[in-house]
Amino acid sequence: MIFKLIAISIIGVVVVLMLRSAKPEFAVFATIATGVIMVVILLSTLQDVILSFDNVVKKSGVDESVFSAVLKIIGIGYLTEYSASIATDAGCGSIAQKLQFGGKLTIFAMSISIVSALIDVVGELVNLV
Amino acid sequence: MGVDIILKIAGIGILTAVVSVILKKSDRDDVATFATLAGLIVVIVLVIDMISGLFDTIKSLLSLYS
Repeated sequence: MIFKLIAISIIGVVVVLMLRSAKPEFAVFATIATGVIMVVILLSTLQDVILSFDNVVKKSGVDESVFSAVLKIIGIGYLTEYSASIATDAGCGSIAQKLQFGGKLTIFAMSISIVSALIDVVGELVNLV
Repeated sequence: MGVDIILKIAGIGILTAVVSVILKKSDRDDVATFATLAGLIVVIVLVIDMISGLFDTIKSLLSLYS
């Protein structure tokens, strides 16, 4: 599996370098395409990891909304990082930084619900003791 | 979904480069810009539906429905 990733990334790099000299606009699209293909390959393993995590969370008794919020935050973090790295590749770092700032804000807004859920759980524990 | 898409984009890029150079040499610069634009649009369409597919799978995988 990892060899497929290595092969695709090397091919992508070669294509991007070739295109960068001939037509720079196509280089950006080649990087995006390589990124998409590599992520699609990784998605299946990501699915298994998430399913196993789901079982662990069900056993541990933490309510489902916290885990789905965590998943959402992972997703948002990954998507913003993905597009920010494409933007930096294409040469405009300022857009990438603004994107990451937006991603941080959305994650912060979502984490408020997790923090409150955590405080409830801790509150219950304290009452038990 | 494999390496062929990357090679397809590379092929389109090189083809547009060659076509635009040929058109520039035979001093038809306006047609050259159109040819480059056409190649660019073809690649944009190709990449956009790949990205939308990727974002949909990630959205469904991580239950991100915001």
